[in-house]
Amino acid sequence: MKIVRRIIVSLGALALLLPAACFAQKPVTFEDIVHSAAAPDPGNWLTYGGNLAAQRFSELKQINTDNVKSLKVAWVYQLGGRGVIESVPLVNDGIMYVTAPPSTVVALDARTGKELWQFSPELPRDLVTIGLFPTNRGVALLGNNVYLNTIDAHLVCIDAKTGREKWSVEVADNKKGFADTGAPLAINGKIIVGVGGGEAGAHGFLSAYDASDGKLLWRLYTVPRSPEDPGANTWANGSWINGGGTTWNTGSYDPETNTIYWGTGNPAPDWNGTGRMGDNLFTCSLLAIDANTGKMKWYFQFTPHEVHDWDSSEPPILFDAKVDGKMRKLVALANRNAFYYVLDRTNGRFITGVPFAKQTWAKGLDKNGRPIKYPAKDIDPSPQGTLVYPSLTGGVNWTSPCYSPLTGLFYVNARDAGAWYIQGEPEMAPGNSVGVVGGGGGGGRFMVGDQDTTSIRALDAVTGKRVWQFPMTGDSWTGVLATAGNLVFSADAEGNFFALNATNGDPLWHLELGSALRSNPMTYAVDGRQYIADSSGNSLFVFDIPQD
Amino acid sequence: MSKLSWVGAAGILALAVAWGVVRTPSAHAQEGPGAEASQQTHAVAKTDPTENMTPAEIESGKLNFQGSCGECHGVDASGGVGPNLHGVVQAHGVQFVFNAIRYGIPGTAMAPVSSLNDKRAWQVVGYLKTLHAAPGSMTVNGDPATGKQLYEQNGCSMCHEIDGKGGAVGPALTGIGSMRSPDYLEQVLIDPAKNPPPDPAVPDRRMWTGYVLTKVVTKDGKTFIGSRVNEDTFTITLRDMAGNYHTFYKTNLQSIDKEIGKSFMPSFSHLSQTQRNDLVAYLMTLKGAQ
Repeated sequence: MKIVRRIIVSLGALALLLPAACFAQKPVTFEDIVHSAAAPDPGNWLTYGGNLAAQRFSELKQINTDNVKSLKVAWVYQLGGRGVIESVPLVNDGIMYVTAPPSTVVALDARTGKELWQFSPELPRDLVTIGLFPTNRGVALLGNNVYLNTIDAHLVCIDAKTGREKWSVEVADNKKGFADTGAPLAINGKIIVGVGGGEAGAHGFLSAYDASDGKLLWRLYTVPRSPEDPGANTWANGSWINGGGTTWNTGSYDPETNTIYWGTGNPAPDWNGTGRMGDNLFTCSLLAIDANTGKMKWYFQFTPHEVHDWDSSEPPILFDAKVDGKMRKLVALANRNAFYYVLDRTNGRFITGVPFAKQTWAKGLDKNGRPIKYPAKDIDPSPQGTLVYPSLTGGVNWTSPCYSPLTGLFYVNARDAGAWYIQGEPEMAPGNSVGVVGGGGGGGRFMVGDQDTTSIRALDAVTGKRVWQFPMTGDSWTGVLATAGNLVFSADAEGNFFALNATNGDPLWHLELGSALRSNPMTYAVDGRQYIADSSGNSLFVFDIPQD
Repeated sequence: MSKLSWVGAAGILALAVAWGVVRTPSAHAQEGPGAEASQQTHAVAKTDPTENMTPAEIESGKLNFQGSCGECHGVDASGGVGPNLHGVVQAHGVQFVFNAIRYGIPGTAMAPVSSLNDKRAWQVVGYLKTLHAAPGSMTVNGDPATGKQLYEQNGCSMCHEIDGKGGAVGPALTGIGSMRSPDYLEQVLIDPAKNPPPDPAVPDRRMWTGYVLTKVVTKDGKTFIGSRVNEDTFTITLRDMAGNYHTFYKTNLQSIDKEIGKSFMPSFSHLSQTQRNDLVAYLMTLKGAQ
């Protein structure tokens, strides 16, 4: 601590001597984001997924397999009674930006956890949140701005220095069930924003806004809005009208080809597909989108005619690797439907698809990656419940997997539970005037306790073959972080935050934080010192290795 | 969409979530304080919608009950984490039960059942209304006074607590008469390990099977047997017959065996049918603090 203090003191003295501009926090450039969590300044974590490829991998290695056993709590920030933190903090130049439910942003000094400012948008008293918990998963940074998606479906631009609102635009009408919980994605001059609310009949779309003034640049609908729209013939009897295919998690971006990769949610109504026969494009799909025009370059549908609430909103991770001896540009996604997929990200062609968690709904995938489903009578929801693996919460849910270019492994927190799926009689309406989730389309009874288990699994990123696993007790909802220190961080359902050896899964360190962790771990560095951060309950914990 | 949600919900609302009524992830979301369901003005039916319900509607109510309520209340409504519901309509009326389904019961783990709309909720009420005279109902043929004597003679209070008196090896029985059906209680007397109750100790663990008899052997060859109180990825805590807690780091254990099918509680199948009826009749009088 002495060293840190000394550095702070000397920096403070410098600030007195130099013009203010020299000491100001650096604005975040697009080039910075392209190199987030990597050289030349791996200490900054500037985007939700760590880097634009959503790898949740950091080049920091001060904390590594040799010294991680000495990891200690550096500071804790308690949010008070606002609820469980699901947010991934971003760090730029020593300042951390973390969010709290429902839509609050807090700026902290990343060395000390001391609060610098808070921003809470005014929210309507009659907020509609059907089928989602009013939380927030993080912000985007660009220039001197912090971008926030709000629970009432607005995009707000906040001054990174003062915490004051610069502008706010309505992304969609909250009265119709739209709500935002995910982090926006900042790319070159644009802020990419998804929407949630599929259980309220929200019609999914993805939008790009001008980062400077909030002007809408393009909007891509994920479900047809007229009989002429592409995919309309995959919804019997015009059933596209009920929507779905929301875009509630954060996607990834390839700057080389200027392509956005973003997953889409389930069709509406949920759990009862009898009124919407057909594949229901472009729900439960991965979309590749031209960032300039918003036009779809290709799509890949993981679960055609989905009836189990298995959104394909999981983060698409981009990496390059050899397939059959040839270097390929790939995108990988561990899907809620319990299959791990690898696609060619230049054209969407299927390369690999294998289960990474227990599943009982498909015999396998065909050569194009389309599932070969078991008969509907054995897997579709029924009034009294049909037992199917994975459960409604999926082989994995919104929490992020990660990829280490050093090990070539894809790490995912995998769930091996089933559920008894219940089919209801949905009554959909915009804004879901029926007032129940999925318009009453159904739901499920979960397996609980010893039957509901999760494991950190390391997969060969190209083949999906399991290399190791670390079984946990209970139903963990924590993402996974990989670092160049050859470490993987995650947590179990009982509040143990832990570090594993990235090569073989050996547990190297753990600490009980007192409440389950419902977010994705991240790492950053300030003044040459590496920190690891994750939230347990309503407290953000930051760890480092004491140096004196 | 749903999904994102219930994670958070689960965290904050550990209890409500753990009870998990209909566990659409989304459902959990709506179990939160201030969720819109609780803000609605409760609709009051002008007439009793369960009057003149067709057998098909009752059957639909039964299926929906099994799917949406069975996890907590048992698929035959005879109780589980949540109370036995046989006779609930007769005791509280149709509107109370309907409101409990649609809007939850504030201050309890009974959260709004988000997969049932008004029509289906009424069908479930219609089904529950038929349960008053069905097997597992609240009526039982036995003499509670004799049952109380049998309870004392058989040493039940060594392990079970009633009104603050008794042991803590097994579950407290103070309110057992409103939680369980006579059928369930008799089954436990005959085969205690067949359908063990959920974990009572820690709210977060409410949906775990409780009283799991567990045997661990340490790396230096020592064996401990106890009821599992807590377990995470790195540790396990057992409670022995004397009520002592033993916590082990899993890395120090060579084996952990959860002896599913075994219980600390002995079988009372040697009692006569009449004696078991008396004992169950006594237990059914224990309604707890109202």
